[in-house]
Amino acid sequence: MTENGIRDDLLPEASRELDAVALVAEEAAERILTAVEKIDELRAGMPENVSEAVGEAIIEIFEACGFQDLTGQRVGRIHQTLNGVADRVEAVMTHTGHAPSSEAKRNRDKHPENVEKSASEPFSEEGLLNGPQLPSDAKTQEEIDALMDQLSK
Amino acid sequence: MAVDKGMRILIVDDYKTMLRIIRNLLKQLGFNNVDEATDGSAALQVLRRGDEYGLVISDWNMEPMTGLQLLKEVRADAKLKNTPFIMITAESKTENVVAAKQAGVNNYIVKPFNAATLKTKMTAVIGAF
Repeated sequence: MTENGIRDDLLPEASRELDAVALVAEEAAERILTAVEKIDELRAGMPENVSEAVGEAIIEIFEACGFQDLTGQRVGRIHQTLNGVADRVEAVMTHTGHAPSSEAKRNRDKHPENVEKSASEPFSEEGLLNGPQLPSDAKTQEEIDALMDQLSK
Repeated sequence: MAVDKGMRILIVDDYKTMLRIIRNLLKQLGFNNVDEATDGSAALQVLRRGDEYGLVISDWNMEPMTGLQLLKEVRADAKLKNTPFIMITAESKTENVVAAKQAGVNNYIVKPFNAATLKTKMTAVIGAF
């Protein structure tokens, strides 16, 4: 595949697929939450021991639905990576005398992720905005607690 | 003294699903007086309307105003500066925790989190309930 193909087809297609993943995850989470909220409303008519058991299960489902937030943030990070790759491809093309057409640039800039970024002010604490870390790198709640304790002394 | 479960709580997150999750978990813990905002600037507007909030639970990574910026604004505001503030975020690097602590956060929860952690941290910040 040529640089043109990577920039104009492959990367935009990857972005669209990612958007679809994020959308499916969001729709699934919303449907699950709606169903669980209905079950929660029915708890009032259940025997106490049943209501309690159902309540515990409901809490677990609410907790698990947090996957949508983390999925969305990870997809956002991959978008940023793809934009970085597109910038590199563009730089290589410019360097080799194959600068992208203004139309191709406009198409890329139309992606919602890019529009939002350009419309917003840069973060003053940009270095602190990294999104979710990989499980192998992320701190556990216990490690966060220990750090908070240490900082409180 | 027991915590008043009728206290007003503001939850801030740019993911509507997460707002819904936290609202439901708070409901399970007995807190039903919950308002929502989708970024720091919207949260500040809500906080400055005049209603007293017993707790703010905020995400970090939001646009245009982050949770850290919101926290700094709250601590710099004479009327809001004592509002208890818990950060719930996927940002788990040491420098994030240090920055939040320096800005005056009362507690820090890393995503993904569970209801038990939320309850423990709320108890540590606002008292037993």
